[in-house]
Amino acid sequence: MISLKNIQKNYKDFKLDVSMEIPDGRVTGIIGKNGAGKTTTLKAILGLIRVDGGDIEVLGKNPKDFTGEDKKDIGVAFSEAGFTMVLTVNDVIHILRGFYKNFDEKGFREKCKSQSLPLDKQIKDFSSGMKAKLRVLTAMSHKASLLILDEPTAGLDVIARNDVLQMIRDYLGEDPERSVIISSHISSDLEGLCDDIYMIDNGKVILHEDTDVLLGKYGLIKVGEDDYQTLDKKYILASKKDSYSYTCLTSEKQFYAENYPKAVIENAHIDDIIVLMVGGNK
Amino acid sequence: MKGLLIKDCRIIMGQKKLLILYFFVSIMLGFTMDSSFIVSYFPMIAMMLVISTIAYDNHENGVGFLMTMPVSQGDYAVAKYIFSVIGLFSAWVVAIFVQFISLFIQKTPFVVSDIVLEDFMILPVFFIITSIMIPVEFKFSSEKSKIVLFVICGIIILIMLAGKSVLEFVQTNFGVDFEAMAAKADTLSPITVIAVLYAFCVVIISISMVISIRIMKKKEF
Repeated sequence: MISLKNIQKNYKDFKLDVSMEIPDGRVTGIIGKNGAGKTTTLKAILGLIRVDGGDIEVLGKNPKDFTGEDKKDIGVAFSEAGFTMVLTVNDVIHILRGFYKNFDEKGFREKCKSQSLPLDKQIKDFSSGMKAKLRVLTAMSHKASLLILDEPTAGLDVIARNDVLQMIRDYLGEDPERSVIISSHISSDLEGLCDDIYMIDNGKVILHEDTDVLLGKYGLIKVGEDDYQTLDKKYILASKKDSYSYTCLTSEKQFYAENYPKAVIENAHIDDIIVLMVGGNK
Repeated sequence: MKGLLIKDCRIIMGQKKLLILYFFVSIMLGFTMDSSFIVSYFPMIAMMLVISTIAYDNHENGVGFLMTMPVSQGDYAVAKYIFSVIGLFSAWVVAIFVQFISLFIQKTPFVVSDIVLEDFMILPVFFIITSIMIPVEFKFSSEKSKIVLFVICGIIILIMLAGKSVLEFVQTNFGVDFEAMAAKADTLSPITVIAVLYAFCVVIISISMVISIRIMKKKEF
Protein backbone atom coordinates (compact mmCIF):
# COMPACT_ATOMS: atom_id res chain seq x y z
CA MET A 1 0.00 0.00 0.00
CA ILE A 2 1.21 3.48 -0.85
CA SER A 3 -0.34 6.35 1.01
CA LEU A 4 0.25 10.03 0.37
CA LYS A 5 -1.61 12.40 2.66
CA ASN A 6 -1.46 16.06 1.68
CA ILE A 7 2.06 15.79 0.37
CA GLN A 8 3.44 19.23 -0.27
CA LYS A 9 6.50 20.32 -2.12
CA ASN A 10 7.16 23.96 -2.87
CA TYR A 11 9.40 25.17 -5.65
CA LYS A 12 9.88 28.75 -6.75
CA ASP A 13 7.26 28.54 -9.47
CA PHE A 14 5.45 25.30 -8.67
CA LYS A 15 3.61 23.84 -5.72
CA LEU A 16 2.68 20.18 -5.32
CA ASP A 17 -0.15 19.25 -2.99
CA VAL A 18 -1.48 15.74 -3.52
CA SER A 19 -3.12 12.87 -1.66
CA MET A 20 -3.27 9.31 -2.99
CA GLU A 21 -4.11 5.82 -1.76
CA ILE A 22 -2.65 3.07 -3.90
CA PRO A 23 -3.52 -0.46 -2.71
CA ASP A 24 -1.28 -3.47 -3.39
CA GLY A 25 -1.76 -5.44 -6.57
CA ARG A 26 -3.14 -2.52 -8.57
CA VAL A 27 -1.95 -0.75 -11.69
CA THR A 28 -2.37 2.93 -11.04
CA GLY A 29 -1.89 5.57 -13.69
CA ILE A 30 -0.94 9.17 -13.11
CA ILE A 31 -1.84 11.35 -16.02
CA GLY A 32 -1.42 15.04 -16.64
CA LYS A 33 0.14 17.47 -19.04
CA ASN A 34 3.90 18.13 -19.01
CA GLY A 35 4.91 19.92 -15.81
CA ALA A 36 1.70 18.93 -13.98
CA GLY A 37 3.60 17.29 -11.12
CA LYS A 38 3.67 13.61 -12.11
CA THR A 39 7.42 13.13 -11.80
CA THR A 40 7.58 15.18 -8.59
CA THR A 41 4.91 12.91 -7.09
CA LEU A 42 6.88 9.80 -8.06
CA LYS A 43 10.08 11.32 -6.68
CA ALA A 44 8.28 11.98 -3.39
CA ILE A 45 7.14 8.33 -3.31
CA LEU A 46 10.74 7.24 -3.85
CA GLY A 47 12.19 9.65 -1.29
CA LEU A 48 14.30 11.40 -3.91
CA ILE A 49 13.00 14.78 -2.78
CA ARG A 50 12.28 16.11 0.70
CA VAL A 51 8.64 17.02 1.06
CA ASP A 52 7.63 20.21 2.86
CA GLY A 53 4.54 18.71 4.47
CA GLY A 54 2.24 15.72 4.68
CA ASP A 55 2.76 12.03 5.30
CA ILE A 56 4.01 9.36 2.93
CA GLU A 57 4.07 5.65 3.50
CA VAL A 58 5.51 3.26 0.94
CA LEU A 59 5.85 -0.47 1.69
CA GLY A 60 5.20 0.30 5.35
CA LYS A 61 7.81 3.03 5.72
CA ASN A 62 8.41 6.69 5.13
CA PRO A 63 10.66 6.80 2.03
CA LYS A 64 13.09 9.16 3.77
CA ASP A 65 13.86 6.27 6.14
CA PHE A 66 14.43 3.77 3.31
CA THR A 67 17.54 1.66 3.64
CA GLY A 68 19.19 0.01 0.67
CA GLU A 69 17.44 -3.22 1.67
CA ASP A 70 13.98 -1.57 1.51
CA LYS A 71 14.59 -0.49 -2.08
CA LYS A 72 15.24 -4.04 -3.29
CA ASP A 73 11.51 -4.54 -3.70
CA ILE A 74 11.07 -1.52 -5.95
CA GLY A 75 11.91 -1.27 -9.64
CA VAL A 76 12.10 2.17 -11.19
CA ALA A 77 12.33 3.56 -14.71
CA PHE A 78 12.58 7.28 -15.33
CA SER A 79 12.11 8.77 -18.75
CA GLU A 80 15.21 10.92 -18.58
CA ALA A 81 17.49 9.20 -16.12
CA GLY A 82 19.27 5.91 -16.12
CA PHE A 83 22.67 4.35 -16.29
CA THR A 84 25.32 6.49 -17.92
CA MET A 85 25.30 6.23 -21.70
CA VAL A 86 28.88 4.96 -22.02
CA LEU A 87 27.83 1.62 -20.55
CA THR A 88 26.66 -1.38 -22.55
CA VAL A 89 23.89 -3.87 -21.73
CA ASN A 90 26.65 -6.29 -20.69
CA ASP A 91 27.89 -3.69 -18.20
CA VAL A 92 24.35 -3.19 -16.93
CA ILE A 93 24.06 -6.97 -16.36
CA HIS A 94 27.23 -6.94 -14.22
CA ILE A 95 26.01 -3.92 -12.27
CA LEU A 96 22.54 -5.33 -11.61
CA ARG A 97 24.13 -8.58 -10.48
CA GLY A 98 26.09 -6.51 -7.95
CA PHE A 99 22.99 -4.65 -6.75
CA TYR A 100 20.35 -7.38 -6.54
CA LYS A 101 20.65 -10.89 -5.12
CA ASN A 102 17.50 -11.95 -6.99
CA PHE A 103 18.54 -10.42 -10.31
CA ASP A 104 17.05 -12.64 -12.99
CA GLU A 105 20.04 -12.64 -15.34
CA LYS A 106 18.74 -15.39 -17.60
CA GLY A 107 15.36 -13.70 -17.99
CA PHE A 108 16.98 -10.30 -18.52
CA ARG A 109 19.27 -11.63 -21.25
CA GLU A 110 16.36 -13.41 -22.96
CA LYS A 111 14.19 -10.29 -22.88
CA CYS A 112 17.04 -8.12 -24.21
CA LYS A 113 17.47 -10.62 -27.03
CA SER A 114 13.76 -10.71 -27.81
CA GLN A 115 13.68 -6.91 -27.89
CA SER A 116 16.80 -6.85 -30.13
CA LEU A 117 18.93 -4.95 -27.62
CA PRO A 118 22.60 -5.54 -28.48
CA LEU A 119 24.72 -6.52 -25.49
CA ASP A 120 27.97 -4.88 -26.56
CA LYS A 121 26.78 -1.57 -27.94
CA GLN A 122 27.03 1.56 -25.79
CA ILE A 123 23.63 2.84 -24.65
CA LYS A 124 24.34 6.23 -26.24
CA ASP A 125 24.16 4.54 -29.65
CA PHE A 126 20.71 3.05 -28.92
CA SER A 127 17.54 4.46 -30.49
CA SER A 128 14.99 6.14 -28.17
CA GLY A 129 12.86 2.99 -28.26
CA MET A 130 15.79 0.76 -27.33
CA LYS A 131 16.75 3.04 -24.44
CA ALA A 132 13.17 3.02 -23.14
CA LYS A 133 12.96 -0.77 -23.38
CA LEU A 134 16.25 -1.15 -21.52
CA ARG A 135 15.07 1.19 -18.75
CA VAL A 136 11.84 -0.78 -18.29
CA LEU A 137 13.61 -4.17 -18.45
CA THR A 138 16.11 -2.92 -15.86
CA ALA A 139 13.27 -1.96 -13.53
CA MET A 140 11.74 -5.43 -13.97
CA SER A 141 15.00 -7.34 -13.71
CA HIS A 142 14.87 -8.22 -10.01
CA LYS A 143 11.22 -9.27 -9.62
CA ALA A 144 10.24 -6.17 -7.65
CA SER A 145 6.77 -6.17 -6.14
CA LEU A 146 6.38 -2.46 -6.89
CA LEU A 147 7.22 -0.94 -10.26
CA ILE A 148 7.36 2.82 -10.64
CA LEU A 149 7.51 3.89 -14.26
CA ASP A 150 7.79 7.55 -15.14
CA GLU A 151 6.71 8.25 -18.71
CA PRO A 152 8.08 4.92 -20.00
CA THR A 153 6.64 5.51 -23.48
CA ALA A 154 7.43 9.21 -23.90
CA GLY A 155 8.84 10.05 -27.32
CA LEU A 156 8.39 6.53 -28.72
CA ASP A 157 6.79 5.50 -31.98
CA VAL A 158 3.64 3.38 -31.84
CA ILE A 159 5.48 0.06 -32.30
CA ALA A 160 7.99 0.75 -29.53
CA ARG A 161 5.17 2.00 -27.28
CA ASN A 162 3.22 -1.21 -27.79
CA ASP A 163 6.34 -3.26 -27.07
CA VAL A 164 6.95 -1.41 -23.79
CA LEU A 165 3.29 -1.74 -22.75
CA GLN A 166 3.32 -5.44 -23.58
CA MET A 167 6.45 -5.89 -21.45
CA ILE A 168 4.58 -4.31 -18.52
CA ARG A 169 1.53 -6.54 -19.11
CA ASP A 170 3.78 -9.63 -19.24
CA TYR A 171 5.43 -8.59 -15.98
CA LEU A 172 2.06 -8.23 -14.30
CA GLY A 173 0.95 -11.56 -15.74
CA GLU A 174 3.85 -13.35 -14.01
CA ASP A 175 2.57 -12.36 -10.56
CA PRO A 176 -0.84 -10.74 -9.96
CA GLU A 177 0.33 -9.39 -6.57
CA ARG A 178 2.67 -6.95 -8.27
CA SER A 179 1.78 -3.26 -8.22
CA VAL A 180 2.62 -0.69 -10.86
CA ILE A 181 2.47 3.07 -10.74
CA ILE A 182 2.86 4.50 -14.20
CA SER A 183 2.85 8.14 -15.20
CA SER A 184 2.17 9.29 -18.70
CA HIS A 185 0.74 12.13 -20.69
CA ILE A 186 -0.40 9.65 -23.35
CA SER A 187 -3.88 8.61 -22.28
CA SER A 188 -4.25 5.62 -24.59
CA ASP A 189 -1.26 3.98 -22.85
CA LEU A 190 -3.06 4.09 -19.55
CA GLU A 191 -6.58 3.25 -20.73
CA GLY A 192 -5.72 -0.33 -21.56
CA LEU A 193 -3.37 -0.92 -18.65
CA CYS A 194 -4.49 0.78 -15.46
CA ASP A 195 -7.06 -0.20 -12.85
CA ASP A 196 -7.43 3.39 -11.74
CA ILE A 197 -6.19 6.76 -12.83
CA TYR A 198 -5.17 9.91 -10.99
CA MET A 199 -5.38 13.05 -13.06
CA ILE A 200 -2.96 15.73 -11.94
CA ASP A 201 -2.88 19.35 -12.99
CA ASN A 202 -0.84 22.19 -11.61
CA GLY A 203 0.37 20.09 -8.70
CA LYS A 204 -3.11 18.97 -7.60
CA VAL A 205 -5.18 15.82 -8.10
CA ILE A 206 -8.18 16.98 -10.11
CA LEU A 207 -9.75 13.56 -10.62
CA HIS A 208 -9.34 10.02 -9.34
CA GLU A 209 -11.44 7.25 -10.75
CA ASP A 210 -11.36 3.59 -11.73
CA THR A 211 -10.56 3.28 -15.44
CA ASP A 212 -13.69 1.18 -16.03
CA VAL A 213 -15.83 3.92 -14.53
CA LEU A 214 -14.05 6.62 -16.53
CA LEU A 215 -14.59 4.81 -19.78
CA GLY A 216 -18.03 3.38 -18.93
CA LYS A 217 -19.85 6.14 -17.09
CA TYR A 218 -18.15 9.34 -18.16
CA GLY A 219 -19.39 10.97 -21.32
CA LEU A 220 -19.42 14.14 -23.37
CA ILE A 221 -22.71 15.95 -23.90
CA LYS A 222 -22.93 18.37 -26.79
CA VAL A 223 -25.79 20.86 -26.55
CA GLY A 224 -26.75 24.21 -28.00
CA GLU A 225 -26.74 27.38 -25.91
CA ASP A 226 -30.46 27.24 -25.08
CA ASP A 227 -30.40 23.57 -24.12
CA TYR A 228 -27.33 24.19 -22.01
CA GLN A 229 -29.23 26.69 -19.87
CA THR A 230 -31.92 24.12 -19.08
CA LEU A 231 -29.55 21.17 -18.64
CA ASP A 232 -29.51 19.65 -15.16
CA LYS A 233 -25.92 20.31 -14.02
CA LYS A 234 -26.03 17.79 -11.14
CA TYR A 235 -23.60 15.37 -12.85
CA ILE A 236 -21.73 17.87 -14.99
CA LEU A 237 -18.08 18.02 -13.92
CA ALA A 238 -16.88 20.61 -16.40
CA SER A 239 -18.08 22.35 -19.51
CA LYS A 240 -16.55 24.28 -22.34
CA LYS A 241 -18.14 26.76 -24.69
CA ASP A 242 -17.40 26.18 -28.36
CA SER A 243 -18.44 28.49 -31.24
CA TYR A 244 -22.16 27.64 -31.25
CA SER A 245 -22.51 24.98 -28.57
CA TYR A 246 -21.34 23.64 -25.24
CA THR A 247 -19.40 20.47 -24.57
CA CYS A 248 -20.03 19.12 -21.08
CA LEU A 249 -18.24 16.37 -19.23
CA THR A 250 -20.48 14.16 -17.15
CA SER A 251 -19.79 11.31 -14.79
CA GLU A 252 -23.30 9.91 -15.42
CA LYS A 253 -23.85 9.74 -19.15
CA GLN A 254 -26.72 7.26 -18.69
CA PHE A 255 -28.68 9.86 -16.70
CA TYR A 256 -28.49 12.36 -19.55
CA ALA A 257 -29.16 9.71 -22.19
CA GLU A 258 -32.40 8.85 -20.41
CA ASN A 259 -33.50 12.40 -19.55
CA TYR A 260 -32.28 14.30 -22.61
CA PRO A 261 -32.94 12.00 -25.55
CA LYS A 262 -32.20 14.77 -28.07
CA ALA A 263 -28.76 15.58 -26.63
CA VAL A 264 -25.69 14.27 -28.45
CA ILE A 265 -23.87 12.07 -25.96
CA GLU A 266 -20.51 10.50 -26.76
CA ASN A 267 -18.19 8.22 -24.87
CA ALA A 268 -15.43 10.19 -23.17
CA HIS A 269 -11.83 9.20 -23.68
CA ILE A 270 -9.24 10.16 -21.12
CA ASP A 271 -7.89 12.89 -23.41
CA ASP A 272 -11.36 14.45 -23.58
CA ILE A 273 -11.67 14.27 -19.80
CA ILE A 274 -8.29 15.96 -19.33
CA VAL A 275 -9.07 18.71 -21.83
CA LEU A 276 -12.34 19.53 -20.07
CA MET A 277 -11.10 19.09 -16.52
CA VAL A 278 -8.07 21.27 -17.18
CA GLY A 279 -9.41 23.75 -19.71
CA GLY A 280 -13.17 23.79 -19.04
CA ASN A 281 -15.31 25.62 -16.48
CA LYS A 282 -16.07 23.57 -13.39
CA MET B 1 27.60 -0.80 -2.58
CA LYS B 2 29.11 -3.63 -4.65
CA GLY B 3 26.95 -2.55 -7.58
CA LEU B 4 28.28 1.01 -7.34
CA LEU B 5 31.89 -0.17 -7.42
CA ILE B 6 31.19 -2.44 -10.39
CA LYS B 7 29.49 0.49 -12.16
CA ASP B 8 32.54 2.72 -11.69
CA CYS B 9 34.87 -0.02 -12.93
CA ARG B 10 32.67 -0.56 -15.96
CA ILE B 11 32.55 3.17 -16.74
CA ILE B 12 36.34 3.31 -16.75
CA MET B 13 36.66 0.08 -18.75
CA GLY B 14 34.22 1.59 -21.23
CA GLN B 15 36.76 4.28 -22.09
CA LYS B 16 39.01 1.74 -23.79
CA LYS B 17 40.50 4.10 -26.38
CA LEU B 18 41.45 6.62 -23.71
CA LEU B 19 42.94 3.90 -21.51
CA ILE B 20 45.03 2.49 -24.35
CA LEU B 21 46.28 6.00 -25.16
CA TYR B 22 47.18 6.64 -21.50
CA PHE B 23 48.90 3.28 -21.31
CA PHE B 24 51.15 3.89 -24.32
CA VAL B 25 51.97 7.45 -23.28
CA SER B 26 52.83 6.15 -19.81
CA ILE B 27 55.08 3.41 -21.14
CA MET B 28 56.80 5.88 -23.46
CA LEU B 29 57.33 8.40 -20.68
CA GLY B 30 58.32 5.67 -18.22
CA PHE B 31 61.16 4.49 -20.42
CA THR B 32 62.33 7.87 -21.69
CA MET B 33 62.03 10.15 -18.66
CA ASP B 34 63.20 9.90 -15.09
CA SER B 35 61.74 6.62 -13.83
CA SER B 36 60.14 8.28 -10.79
CA PHE B 37 57.89 10.31 -13.10
CA ILE B 38 55.72 7.30 -13.87
CA VAL B 39 54.95 6.82 -10.15
CA SER B 40 53.27 10.25 -10.14
CA TYR B 41 51.80 9.95 -13.63
CA PHE B 42 49.87 6.69 -13.14
CA PRO B 43 48.03 7.75 -9.94
CA MET B 44 47.29 11.13 -11.54
CA ILE B 45 45.57 9.41 -14.47
CA ALA B 46 43.75 7.11 -12.02
CA MET B 47 42.61 10.13 -10.04
CA MET B 48 41.25 11.83 -13.17
CA LEU B 49 39.40 8.67 -14.20
CA VAL B 50 37.91 8.20 -10.72
CA ILE B 51 36.71 11.81 -10.62
CA SER B 52 35.31 11.48 -14.15
CA THR B 53 32.94 8.75 -12.91
CA ILE B 54 31.15 11.40 -10.79
CA ALA B 55 30.53 13.49 -13.91
CA TYR B 56 29.25 10.41 -15.75
CA ASP B 57 26.90 9.66 -12.84
CA ASN B 58 25.63 13.23 -12.76
CA HIS B 59 24.83 13.24 -16.46
CA GLU B 60 21.05 13.28 -17.03
CA ASN B 61 20.29 12.86 -13.31
CA GLY B 62 21.97 9.45 -13.25
CA VAL B 63 22.63 9.77 -9.51
CA GLY B 64 18.89 10.14 -8.94
CA PHE B 65 18.35 6.87 -10.78
CA LEU B 66 21.13 5.17 -8.80
CA MET B 67 19.38 6.28 -5.59
CA THR B 68 16.37 4.16 -6.58
CA MET B 69 18.62 1.10 -6.36
CA PRO B 70 19.40 -0.63 -3.05
CA VAL B 71 21.91 1.98 -1.84
CA SER B 72 21.65 5.10 0.27
CA GLN B 73 23.09 8.53 -0.47
CA GLY B 74 25.75 7.86 2.16
CA ASP B 75 26.65 4.54 0.49
CA TYR B 76 27.16 6.40 -2.79
CA ALA B 77 29.62 8.82 -1.17
CA VAL B 78 31.51 6.07 0.67
CA ALA B 79 31.71 3.94 -2.50
CA LYS B 80 33.49 6.80 -4.30
CA TYR B 81 36.16 6.90 -1.59
CA ILE B 82 36.61 3.13 -1.62
CA PHE B 83 36.89 3.24 -5.39
CA SER B 84 39.39 6.13 -5.22
CA VAL B 85 41.61 4.40 -2.68
CA ILE B 86 41.55 1.12 -4.63
CA GLY B 87 42.10 2.94 -7.94
CA LEU B 88 44.95 5.14 -6.74
CA PHE B 89 46.64 2.31 -4.90
CA SER B 90 46.40 -0.08 -7.88
CA ALA B 91 47.75 2.57 -10.28
CA TRP B 92 50.59 3.29 -7.87
CA VAL B 93 51.51 -0.41 -7.55
CA VAL B 94 51.49 -0.84 -11.36
CA ALA B 95 53.58 2.34 -11.66
CA ILE B 96 56.21 1.00 -9.25
CA PHE B 97 56.32 -2.21 -11.24
CA VAL B 98 56.86 -0.27 -14.50
CA GLN B 99 59.41 1.93 -12.75
CA PHE B 100 61.56 -1.03 -11.75
CA ILE B 101 61.33 -2.58 -15.23
CA SER B 102 62.42 0.79 -16.63
CA LEU B 103 65.34 0.98 -14.18
CA PHE B 104 66.47 -2.53 -15.13
CA ILE B 105 66.20 -1.82 -18.85
CA GLN B 106 67.99 1.54 -18.55
CA LYS B 107 70.60 -0.20 -16.37
CA THR B 108 70.45 2.72 -13.95
CA PRO B 109 72.16 1.99 -10.63
CA PHE B 110 69.66 2.28 -7.79
CA VAL B 111 69.00 1.42 -4.15
CA VAL B 112 65.63 -0.34 -3.81
CA SER B 113 64.86 1.04 -0.33
CA ASP B 114 65.51 4.65 -1.45
CA ILE B 115 63.21 4.32 -4.44
CA VAL B 116 60.44 2.59 -2.48
CA LEU B 117 60.59 5.23 0.29
CA GLU B 118 60.41 7.97 -2.32
CA ASP B 119 57.44 6.23 -3.97
CA PHE B 120 55.66 5.96 -0.61
CA MET B 121 55.85 9.76 -0.29
CA ILE B 122 53.99 10.26 -3.60
CA LEU B 123 50.75 8.35 -2.98
CA PRO B 124 49.46 10.49 -0.05
CA VAL B 125 49.63 13.60 -2.24
CA PHE B 126 47.06 12.06 -4.59
CA PHE B 127 44.91 10.85 -1.70
CA ILE B 128 44.77 14.41 -0.39
CA ILE B 129 44.02 15.98 -3.80
CA THR B 130 41.27 13.39 -4.39
CA SER B 131 39.86 14.12 -0.93
CA ILE B 132 39.50 17.76 -1.95
CA MET B 133 38.08 16.99 -5.38
CA ILE B 134 35.34 14.48 -4.43
CA PRO B 135 33.24 16.78 -2.18
CA VAL B 136 33.70 19.64 -4.65
CA GLU B 137 32.44 17.43 -7.50
CA PHE B 138 29.50 16.29 -5.33
CA LYS B 139 28.56 19.82 -4.37
CA PHE B 140 28.95 21.58 -7.70
CA SER B 141 28.18 20.70 -11.28
CA SER B 142 31.02 19.54 -13.50
CA GLU B 143 31.59 23.03 -14.95
CA LYS B 144 31.31 24.87 -11.64
CA SER B 145 33.58 22.41 -9.88
CA LYS B 146 36.46 23.33 -12.22
CA ILE B 147 36.15 26.97 -11.13
CA VAL B 148 35.86 25.96 -7.47
CA LEU B 149 38.96 23.75 -7.72
CA PHE B 150 40.84 26.62 -9.38
CA VAL B 151 39.83 28.89 -6.48
CA ILE B 152 40.85 26.23 -3.92
CA CYS B 153 44.30 25.94 -5.59
CA GLY B 154 44.65 29.74 -5.36
CA ILE B 155 43.68 29.70 -1.69
CA ILE B 156 46.21 26.93 -0.96
CA ILE B 157 48.98 28.93 -2.68
CA LEU B 158 47.97 32.05 -0.74
CA ILE B 159 48.00 30.11 2.54
CA MET B 160 51.43 28.74 1.71
CA LEU B 161 52.76 32.21 0.88
CA ALA B 162 51.13 33.75 3.93
CA GLY B 163 52.29 30.81 6.04
CA LYS B 164 55.90 31.49 5.08
CA SER B 165 55.53 35.16 6.07
CA VAL B 166 53.81 34.22 9.34
CA LEU B 167 56.58 31.75 10.18
CA GLU B 168 59.23 34.40 9.46
CA PHE B 169 57.34 36.90 11.62
CA VAL B 170 57.02 34.45 14.54
CA GLN B 171 60.69 33.43 14.22
CA THR B 172 61.91 37.04 14.28
CA ASN B 173 59.58 38.41 16.95
CA PHE B 174 59.01 35.46 19.26
CA GLY B 175 62.33 33.68 18.98
CA VAL B 176 60.85 30.36 17.85
CA ASP B 177 63.57 28.55 15.92
CA PHE B 178 61.73 26.78 13.10
CA GLU B 179 64.99 25.89 11.37
CA ALA B 180 66.13 23.94 14.42
CA MET B 181 62.76 22.21 14.51
CA ALA B 182 63.08 21.35 10.81
CA ALA B 183 66.58 20.02 11.42
CA LYS B 184 65.22 17.86 14.24
CA ALA B 185 62.51 16.55 11.92
CA ASP B 186 65.26 15.62 9.48
CA THR B 187 66.68 13.26 12.05
CA LEU B 188 63.41 11.29 12.16
CA SER B 189 63.55 7.97 10.40
CA PRO B 190 61.91 7.98 6.93
CA ILE B 191 59.52 5.26 8.12
CA THR B 192 58.30 7.53 10.95
CA VAL B 193 57.78 10.37 8.44
CA ILE B 194 55.83 8.06 6.11
CA ALA B 195 53.73 6.76 9.03
CA VAL B 196 52.89 10.35 10.06
CA LEU B 197 52.09 11.24 6.44
CA TYR B 198 49.73 8.27 6.00
CA ALA B 199 48.07 8.96 9.37
CA PHE B 200 47.51 12.55 8.20
CA CYS B 201 46.04 11.14 4.98
CA VAL B 202 43.59 8.96 6.89
CA VAL B 203 42.44 12.02 8.86
CA ILE B 204 41.99 14.11 5.67
CA ILE B 205 40.15 11.30 3.86
CA SER B 206 37.88 10.77 6.89
CA ILE B 207 37.03 14.49 7.16
CA SER B 208 36.43 14.67 3.40
CA MET B 209 34.20 11.58 3.52
CA VAL B 210 32.07 13.02 6.34
CA ILE B 211 31.65 16.25 4.31
CA SER B 212 30.75 14.28 1.17
CA ILE B 213 28.17 12.15 3.00
CA ARG B 214 26.55 15.33 4.33
CA ILE B 215 26.50 16.89 0.86
CA MET B 216 24.92 13.78 -0.64
CA LYS B 217 22.32 13.48 2.14
CA LYS B 218 21.23 17.08 1.58
CA LYS B 219 20.84 16.55 -2.16
CA GLU B 220 17.52 16.17 -3.90
CA PHE B 221 17.19 14.44 -7.22
